[in-house]
Amino acid sequence: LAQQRQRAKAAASHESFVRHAHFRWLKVAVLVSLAVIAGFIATLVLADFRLRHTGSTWFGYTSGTIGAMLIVWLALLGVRKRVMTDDAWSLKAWVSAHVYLGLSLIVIATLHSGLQFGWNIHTLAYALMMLVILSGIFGMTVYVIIPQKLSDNRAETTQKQMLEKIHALDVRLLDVARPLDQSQAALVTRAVRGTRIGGNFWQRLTNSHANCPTGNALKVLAAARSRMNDGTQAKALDQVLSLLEEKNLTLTKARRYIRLRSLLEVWLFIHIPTTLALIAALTAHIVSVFFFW
Amino acid sequence: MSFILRQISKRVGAPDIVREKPLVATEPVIGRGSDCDIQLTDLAVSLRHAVMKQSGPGRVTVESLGAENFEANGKFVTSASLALADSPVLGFGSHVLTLSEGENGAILVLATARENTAPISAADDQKRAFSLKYALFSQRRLAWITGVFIVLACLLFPIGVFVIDHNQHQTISAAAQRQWSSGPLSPGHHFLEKNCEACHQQAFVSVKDTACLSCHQAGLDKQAAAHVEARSRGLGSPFPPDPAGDHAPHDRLMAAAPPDPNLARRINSWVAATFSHPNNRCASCHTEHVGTGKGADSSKTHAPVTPNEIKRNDCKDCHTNLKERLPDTKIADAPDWGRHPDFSPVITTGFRGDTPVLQRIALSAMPVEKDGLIFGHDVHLSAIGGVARQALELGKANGYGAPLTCANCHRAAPDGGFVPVDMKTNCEACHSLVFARKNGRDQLLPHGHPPEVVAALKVYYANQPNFSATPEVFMGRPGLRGSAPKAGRAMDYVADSVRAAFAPGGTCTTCHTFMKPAVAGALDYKIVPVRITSRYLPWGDFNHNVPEHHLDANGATTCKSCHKAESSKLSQDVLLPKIAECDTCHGKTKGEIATAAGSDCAECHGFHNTGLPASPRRQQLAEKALIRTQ
Repeated sequence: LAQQRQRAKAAASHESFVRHAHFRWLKVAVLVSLAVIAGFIATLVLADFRLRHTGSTWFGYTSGTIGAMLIVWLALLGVRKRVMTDDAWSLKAWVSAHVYLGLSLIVIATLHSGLQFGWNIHTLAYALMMLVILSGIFGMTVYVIIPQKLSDNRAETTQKQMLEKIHALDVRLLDVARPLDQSQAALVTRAVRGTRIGGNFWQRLTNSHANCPTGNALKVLAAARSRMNDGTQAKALDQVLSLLEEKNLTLTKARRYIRLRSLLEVWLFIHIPTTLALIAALTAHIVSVFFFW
Repeated sequence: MSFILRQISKRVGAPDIVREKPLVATEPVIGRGSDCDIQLTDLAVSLRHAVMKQSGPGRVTVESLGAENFEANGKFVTSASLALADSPVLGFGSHVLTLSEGENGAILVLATARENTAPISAADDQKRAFSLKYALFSQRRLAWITGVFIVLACLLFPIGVFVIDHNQHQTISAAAQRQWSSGPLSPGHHFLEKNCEACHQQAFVSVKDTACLSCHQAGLDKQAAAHVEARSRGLGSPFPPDPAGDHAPHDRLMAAAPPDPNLARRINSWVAATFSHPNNRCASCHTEHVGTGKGADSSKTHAPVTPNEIKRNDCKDCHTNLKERLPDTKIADAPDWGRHPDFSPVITTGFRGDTPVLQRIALSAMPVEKDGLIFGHDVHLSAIGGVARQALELGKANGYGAPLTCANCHRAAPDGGFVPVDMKTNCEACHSLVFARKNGRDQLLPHGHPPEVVAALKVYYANQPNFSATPEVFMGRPGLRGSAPKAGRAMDYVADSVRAAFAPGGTCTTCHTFMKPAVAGALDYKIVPVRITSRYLPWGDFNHNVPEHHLDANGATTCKSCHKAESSKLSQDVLLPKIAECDTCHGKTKGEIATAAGSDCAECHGFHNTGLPASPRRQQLAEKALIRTQ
């Protein structure tokens, strides 16, 4: 029982932004959404609105104001995360509110739109907002799932250690490969000089490195070794193969790590630029609505 | 048995430094940590990487303490059992440990750092390897680029065009501003799609009625109407603008409207008004930019505006208990078709000078139309008698040839009414105004004004070469009886002729009433003015051209089912049918009668331009719902 209690306590201290303060912000977001739905019903459904103009209703103004203010506040997370505090508005609390209030925007903005879509700035703002939210949902998911996998995979080695190890192996490879013939030495040199740990965007995200020079060298040299009798040459090759294998293993681990890290990062490449685009489109939306009033 | 550690530090251009010390621990730990017995300063080495044990005489086992492996004789392992005789070589990162048998049975550990292992992993390399940023792009740069692009293209460009261009170049304006349009315009306004400033005349000001009325002003004179049409054609309109008047002054319309019974809608109106979007504007009901832009078959033809997209108030909202809100109104309530008040036609009750006095009198009050005319429909429509006889005699060549019917005088006009009855066209074939024949030509008295008749006679007789003689021919029909004048002077002829026209029993008195001259013997007879009503119900839009309005069940033209003309002896009779006549079709269902028709107010009344007859153009607009006539 004591053990159980201890585990519970440990879980509480490692409570994520998802469960922060017993889902406080989830509750707030649900309340806000319900209030907006109630407002929608009160204003437009009860008013028997036959006209598809939600703009000049109090619901239109109110939901629009709430939505716009929310968007600005949500975007301020980028500023907030650079400031350290530890009170009730800890970064974790802030992120929790960011996630749940961000999700409630789906309800607020959709009802605000009155489902009037078209090829215009208004729908652009809505589409950008939905893109930000969807990428945010992806980000939230990977933040919940991936960190555990990441530390499992890394087995307590740091990024720097992985790099150092690969570098050390490279140095040894160049040294050990000296007795090899020209073509084999060239393979080793290419494995040392031409191997890229990360690679391009897709290689990072999919962890597919089909043409990795290290893997190539390993394959070709292993085949060569199997056709070779024991001897000095073979002994040198064995050493090279052993180093290549180790490098390959290290690379695999580093690349799996990179893939996970890339998943953690990739959504931000949509989330952040789209947020700024959204704020620009939102400004244009608001100004244009009142400009051609 | 013990371990002796000999560490060799290589230096560039200087002798190696050799340090040697016996290890206290029997099982020395290899690692980067300072508590390790064999400390290897290399980040590729774990803090506590492996432990070394003597497993037997001349044998040593090395085992990893964590997940990290190490190199033993060129192979990467986590555990190795080694014979000292082979001089085994262990690799930890950049460090090499060579084991051999030392003095006194101790195990000598020779630790050297490999050459050329300068530390390479700067923080930058790490980021390059692990962060996605270096494989993709800078988030911040992309954010700024897209953000600035959107502000320029979607905000500053349209505003700039509005301020600078003023719609001079429609292509540019359209490109700039159409992205702000929340939806297509109604079909009638489709041509304005590229011309935002036609309606949105001022920035940050809601569309004003003046913008609408710049094309749709009603009651313009011909010149102004032509100007407005030219203007709207210039804007690209395929048709002339439809004038839109109010069916009552704007302030009275507003005062007549009851407060919305729907609280939610009332709050909406209040908020809209607060945000300078008052709901008493044209655009409050005629909402634009709300269509889908697609026809029912999702073709490119624009969908008609549905009534729901325009209609705001029902007529009955105002026209129920109207007196409570407009105490001085003369309009009776019409809450629905079943409770529509009796027709109150516009009746000429007399004349003040030459101006007719018009008054709305309910049919039930048996109004008498003092139109100034002496006329009996019964005589004219009778199948027997003098009129029928004369019509037969006139023959088909003159458009007669049979007893008279309604159509002989009343010709349908395209607007749903009738071409006004005219003396020359409709009466003169029988009621001749010929008073003489000269040089083989009939001499006609002018119709309309007694002074002109006198003047014409004077001219005629003054130019008579031999006035003492009788005129060439005296027409005895139907007036100017009494063949020769008593006297032989021209003026006597004139006086006699004038009296023969205007005095009781005279030619003109068949249809008109005259007042004798104030001085006996004078010729200034005065005629009682005539006003023939063309629209008894100017607020309704009754259309005689609707087939059901003039055909009977067999498709034959029938006027008499509504207008009891055959029995009307006097032109004072108001031949308008009672509303019950409309009721035979309107408000009925198809089950009750084949010609059933709607009972909506808009069947007969228009919200705007209610006094105008239903022109073909308006009919077309209404049918295609390009505009809504309610």
